[in-house]
Amino acid sequence: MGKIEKDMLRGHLEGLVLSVLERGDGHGYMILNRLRELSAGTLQLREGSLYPALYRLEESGLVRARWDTSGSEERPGPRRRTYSLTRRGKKTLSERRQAWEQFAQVVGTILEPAP
Amino acid sequence: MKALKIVVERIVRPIAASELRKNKMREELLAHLYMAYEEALAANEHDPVATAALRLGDPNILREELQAAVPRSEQYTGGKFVRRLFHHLEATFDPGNPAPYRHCLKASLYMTAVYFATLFPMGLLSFSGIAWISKGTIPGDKFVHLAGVLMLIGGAMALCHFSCVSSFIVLRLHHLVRASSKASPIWKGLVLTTLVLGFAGLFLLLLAWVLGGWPPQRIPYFVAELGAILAREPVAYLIPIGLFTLTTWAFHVERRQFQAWGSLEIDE
Repeated sequence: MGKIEKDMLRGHLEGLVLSVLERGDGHGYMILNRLRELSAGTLQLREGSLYPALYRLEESGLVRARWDTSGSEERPGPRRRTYSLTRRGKKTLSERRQAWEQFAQVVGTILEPAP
Repeated sequence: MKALKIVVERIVRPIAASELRKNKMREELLAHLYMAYEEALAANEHDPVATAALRLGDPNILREELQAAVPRSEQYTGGKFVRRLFHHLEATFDPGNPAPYRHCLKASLYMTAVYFATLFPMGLLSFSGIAWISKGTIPGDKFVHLAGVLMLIGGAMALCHFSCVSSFIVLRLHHLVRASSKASPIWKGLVLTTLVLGFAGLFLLLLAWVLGGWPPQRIPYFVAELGAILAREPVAYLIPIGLFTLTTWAFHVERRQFQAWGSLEIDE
């Protein structure tokens, strides 16, 4: 499978993050790893661009964040911020899924080879 | 860890946002870089710091994206306005700049507009308050007088600000700004409280001048009246004390949060 570059992801990153968080809470690095796993390594993301997306989602009330200080004795290094989906985030995710299905159906129909 | 912090600080420091938000960005990006660094180290990479930094992407693009994620209101209170002014001033003093006067004029007009927009409602409120306390009404000619004086104050303050900032640029006094950021919170709190009270006092005197007519014959009475109020209501002394406590505390919090990052030398 070919690599999916950042330009193709534009506008979809926030939906993807919401979907990853639906599977469980996680910090930035974990979200990226899950995105990579779910896409079987085809998503080529500039890792930094995840954070502005997370801040936008937090600002819109779709995700909530808390500082994770647990286990800092076993795990050296700076503290992390763990994100979780809010009720509003779940609703938005469901709307985006519907919109995506409709979009994929329409584009799929148009892109089908001519008979 | 210091090398990773420098990578983060190069991205975050120029962002126009509150220090609180910037610290959140710093800590989060540092945690990310730290994990990427550990991975690179485990993979025996030649330069693990550079590898981790590369994974974040182009720092300029990331900075722009982070800036765009900051609410617009905070962008201005967090320094976008000051940065824009500095940009205008630098353009003004750049010998290669073809239109220095245009930039100069734009910057000073911008400052005047901001000062006037802040001062006018403030002055109007104080004026109404004083008229209400003395149970009088606001006469039309006094209102026009007040508007004129406020415009003058706005213009004077803009000019003053403009001259100060341009002097700093021309005389290359950036080290003074850096030194002042390291001063003790109590000292900074004291200076700020004195400045605020000084400006407030000046403002009240100017109001008395407007109310007392031209020439300002009632100023001594106004000052005496103000003194009498202070003597009658010792609770008024809580204002400077409260202001000093609040500003000192704010500077202390700012220093505690910013010290570790602010002292990093990020020049390449």
